[in-house]
Amino acid sequence: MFKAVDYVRPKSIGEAHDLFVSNTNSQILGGGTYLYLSKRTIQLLIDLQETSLKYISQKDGKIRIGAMSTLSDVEESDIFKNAFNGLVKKVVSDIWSYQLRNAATVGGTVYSRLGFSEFLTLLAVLDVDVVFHNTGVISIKDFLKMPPLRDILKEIVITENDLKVSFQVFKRTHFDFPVLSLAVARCDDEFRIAVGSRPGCALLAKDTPKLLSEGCRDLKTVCDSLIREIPFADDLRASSEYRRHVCGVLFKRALSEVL
Amino acid sequence: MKITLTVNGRKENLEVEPSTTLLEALRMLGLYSVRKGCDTASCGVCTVLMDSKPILSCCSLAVQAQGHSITTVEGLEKDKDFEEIRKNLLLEGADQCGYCGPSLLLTVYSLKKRNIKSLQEIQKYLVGNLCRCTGYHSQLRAIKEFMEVGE
Ligand code: FES
Ligand code: FES
Repeated sequence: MFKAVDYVRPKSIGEAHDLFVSNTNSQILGGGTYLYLSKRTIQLLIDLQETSLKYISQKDGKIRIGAMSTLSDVEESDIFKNAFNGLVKKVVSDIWSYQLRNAATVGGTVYSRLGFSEFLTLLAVLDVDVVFHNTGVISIKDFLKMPPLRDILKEIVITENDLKVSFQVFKRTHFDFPVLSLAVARCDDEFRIAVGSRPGCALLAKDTPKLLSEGCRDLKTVCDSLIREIPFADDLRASSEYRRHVCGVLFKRALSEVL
Repeated sequence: MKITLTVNGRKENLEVEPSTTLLEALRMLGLYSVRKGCDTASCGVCTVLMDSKPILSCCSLAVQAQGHSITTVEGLEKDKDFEEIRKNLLLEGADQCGYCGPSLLLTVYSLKKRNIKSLQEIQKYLVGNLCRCTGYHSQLRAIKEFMEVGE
């Protein structure tokens, strides 16, 4: 079990940021739901609940989600009832349990790049920016490739558009982390493909979207390409070989929805 | 550190470590209806209501709960809805060893406030409430009646 020596609740993001960067053994506290996975001793826990980061708003084709919004806030928001045909709401409402979604935050999920996060796999193929206090705006595509940032995630911004999106997930039971999750988005001839729970964090494919954009519609060719370029590993849920197989199946299903 | 929690409408002062879980803190206060099962966010027996929503007290910190309103079954004894669901569960024989009882009661109680329309939806919201005695059928009969939903 993790240990914490001290705890603070700053009133502003600036104050939280100063504490975070001046103390190398500090950690930002979102919902705290995954802390039990850590065995570390943390000097300072910085709780963001009083920094006004709990909101979901929609303006000029952008949906802004404050980092301290919970997964339930997303699930229950009227904005997500309609946005992306309700897909975001559907994906979030299938995550783990109702109790966990009431506490787990969007910021905690995104910042930690949780490998098992279905939400992150979906976000990876949408037009999403992650906004940090100091670093500013980074596209999710770049963020997923970057080393961990010692900065405070303020919000994520989703641009609403006409992407055709398919999300697929395979779990051993409904109440479990996924064995694999996969999302495909299409806008005319442009494709994006993300694979999560590999078991590592969601990864965007590079070669396979190009193949599809060039007009290749041979399912075997595109599936083989995706399986070749995405690295998989073993964990207690599945072997890498099994994941590779599942990836092919989920990808075919996703393509049948977007092609 | 010294903290003050609002539990079942009462202010409670206690001394905790920053990493003390809400589960441990509530049990320090003698609220033994809040149970420890898996301790890894999986079984739901540690469920309490925070600002009327069910959360897992095994993976929430006591310090985080300051300024929020925490409810356990002890705080709902005189509540009409609570009494009704408790009676339904007893009449259906849904309470066997009773270990999961308080957490199930709290989750179902909180669901009554939502516009739940189907049995399938209820089941979806209850996936995190495991019953080691596997009394799910009798539990669902009782809950269906309480929520007044069809199949
Ligand atoms: S003890 Fe908290 S979920 Fe099992
Ligand atoms: S009645 Fe025994 S755990 Fe549910």
